[in-house]
Amino acid sequence: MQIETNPRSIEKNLIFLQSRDGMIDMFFGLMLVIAGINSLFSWYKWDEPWYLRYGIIILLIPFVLGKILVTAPRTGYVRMKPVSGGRKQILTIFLVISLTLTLLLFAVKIFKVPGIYGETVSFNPVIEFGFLVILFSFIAWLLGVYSLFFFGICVGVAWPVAHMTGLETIAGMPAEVFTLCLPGLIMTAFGIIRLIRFLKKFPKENLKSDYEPEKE
Amino acid sequence: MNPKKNSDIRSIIDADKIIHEPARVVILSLLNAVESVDFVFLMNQTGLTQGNLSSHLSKLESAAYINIEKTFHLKRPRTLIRISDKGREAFRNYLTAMKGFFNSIG
Repeated sequence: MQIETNPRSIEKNLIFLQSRDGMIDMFFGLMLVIAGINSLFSWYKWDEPWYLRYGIIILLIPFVLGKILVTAPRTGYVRMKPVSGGRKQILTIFLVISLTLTLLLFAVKIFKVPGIYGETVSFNPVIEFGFLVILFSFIAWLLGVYSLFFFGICVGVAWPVAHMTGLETIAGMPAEVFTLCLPGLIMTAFGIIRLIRFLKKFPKENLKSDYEPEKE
Repeated sequence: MNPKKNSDIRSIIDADKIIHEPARVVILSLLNAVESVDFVFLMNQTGLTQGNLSSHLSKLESAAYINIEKTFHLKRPRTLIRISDKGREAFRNYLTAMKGFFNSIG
């Protein structure tokens, strides 16, 4: 591994190292699977169980705990010097706005907010999937987690392929079940493999590593 | 030979022996770029073993070039390391001397 001594490179290196744990792949993968299953429930007008309705929020708990208890102790801690970063602030604001809009979009769709989402109102799938592709690509670029860029493309390509092949008619289920669940399952599997590799690279024994001053 | 050039070439002989060791140059380069790091991060970044890194850190701490602080985080011990003002100045002088040397032989 190349040793970085430039502050920005050190920061990028740490983010890269922390992204190798596969947790963000699993998080987004399972999020897509839940969204796909939700669309199935909507299609058949079944009552969604609470754990599916709030699944995305529930997923945050193991994700955050995993980062704190598994990843961070293995990759270590660094405090960067304060940087008067105009670029960093712009990116942070952009990310906050993007994530807020995405969560609102999901909330309107999942909770069918009256007045905004109804039987006669639906999101154009091109906009929906196009937005997902853009969001995944942006997060991939920002965090340097390039697998998310690949998965964003998968999600974007899956929907037109499903409609061109008439999968909706053949399977009798909404296309979103396949276009969201399949990439979601692939991402989750990829995340699990990454996590196993990460745990092999940073075994539990490393957690006990600490400074031992030389005895005089 | 030009006296200044001679002085620049000699600078490697007079280089700070505490810093003038590859692993310690790398350690100080990393510490100079950040505010503080923990032991695990430094071990991952340098690729040194626990014992080897501890030995180098002991030497740097003895020279007061770094500060080592033992804390706890979520009930786990965490050793924080940061470069001291003396260490930062010594490292800057070392880099200047090395640049002079490489420029004079270049």
